[in-house]
Amino acid sequence: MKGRETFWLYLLACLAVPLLWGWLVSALLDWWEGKRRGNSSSPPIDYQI
Amino acid sequence: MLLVEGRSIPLWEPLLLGAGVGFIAGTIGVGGGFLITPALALLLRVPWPLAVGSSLAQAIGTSASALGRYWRAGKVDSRLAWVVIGGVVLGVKMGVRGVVLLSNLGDWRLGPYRARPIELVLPLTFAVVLSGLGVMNWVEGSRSWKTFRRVEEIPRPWLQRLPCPPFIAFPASGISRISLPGVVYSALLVGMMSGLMGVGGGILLVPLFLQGLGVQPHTALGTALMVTLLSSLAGTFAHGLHGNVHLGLVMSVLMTSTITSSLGARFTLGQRGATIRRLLAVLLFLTALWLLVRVWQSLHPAGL
Repeated sequence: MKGRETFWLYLLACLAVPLLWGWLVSALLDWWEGKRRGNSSSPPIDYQI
Repeated sequence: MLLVEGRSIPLWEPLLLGAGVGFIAGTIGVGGGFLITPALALLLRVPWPLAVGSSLAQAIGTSASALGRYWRAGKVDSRLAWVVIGGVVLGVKMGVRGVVLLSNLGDWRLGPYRARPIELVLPLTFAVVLSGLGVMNWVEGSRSWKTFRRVEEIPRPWLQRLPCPPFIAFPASGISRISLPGVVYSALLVGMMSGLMGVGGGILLVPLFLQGLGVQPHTALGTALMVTLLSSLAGTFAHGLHGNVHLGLVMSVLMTSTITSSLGARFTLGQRGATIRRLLAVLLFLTALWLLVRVWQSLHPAGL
């Protein structure tokens, strides 16, 4: 049971980490770009479904 | 002379290998791992786990050298590179675990033959992946854009059509809206294959960027080189912890490959995208064929 829980946790982490990383990095880069240009008109990510 | 796992290798062998692979790697915008790993294992008879780790380590030097040229030419989308690197590095780590697991398995019997799992699975994975990539690149390279009468008829790359939010833009690559989960999970898969095959990831990233995301050929090559550099650093560290990196071998390959990869990058920046794809396809087919022949030759009769 413990092994199965570890597996699911590992799988969840493997799926969550790349997505969180991509979101965080793009948000940071947009913020940095906005700061450099002196505006933040473009939203970092489009959440429209 | 280099001493690798109790066997002496003349120094000129890795030097010559580095020179040839470095030029090809710089030409097609990859670290060269997809050629170095099988060449080390099958030509210089270095054990597969050591070939995989050492190949990743040399990809650091080769990709850094070629990246300089693309960076100065403004052909690197650093935003795209940073977004995908998280998935690639995690995938590489998972692939490395796979290599360690395979090298600890006992012999497999295949009818009248027996083979070590790692000597069978890794080259066969290479051959299948490289053939697939070869077909993709040949088809794309041969398709003339003149066959499409209007710009609207050009099919959008498959990841740009994926309706999975949130969406993200990569202006430097000309992508206004693309699915973020699609991009990062493709990168995770590429990383897994890279760790398993001991390649920096360029050979798999270039088709992902070209066909999956729709990045322009030169930018795809430059960006793939940046990701390759970062993922090779992570892969080398992971393989180094398992003792799978031979520094003498890496340094001797790097001595010539760093020089020739920069020459290769200079040659490519003057070529058309379709020419690069066709060149890459031919190289992939030849490597896959060579691997299949060597796998067949490496099978031992079960009785021995």
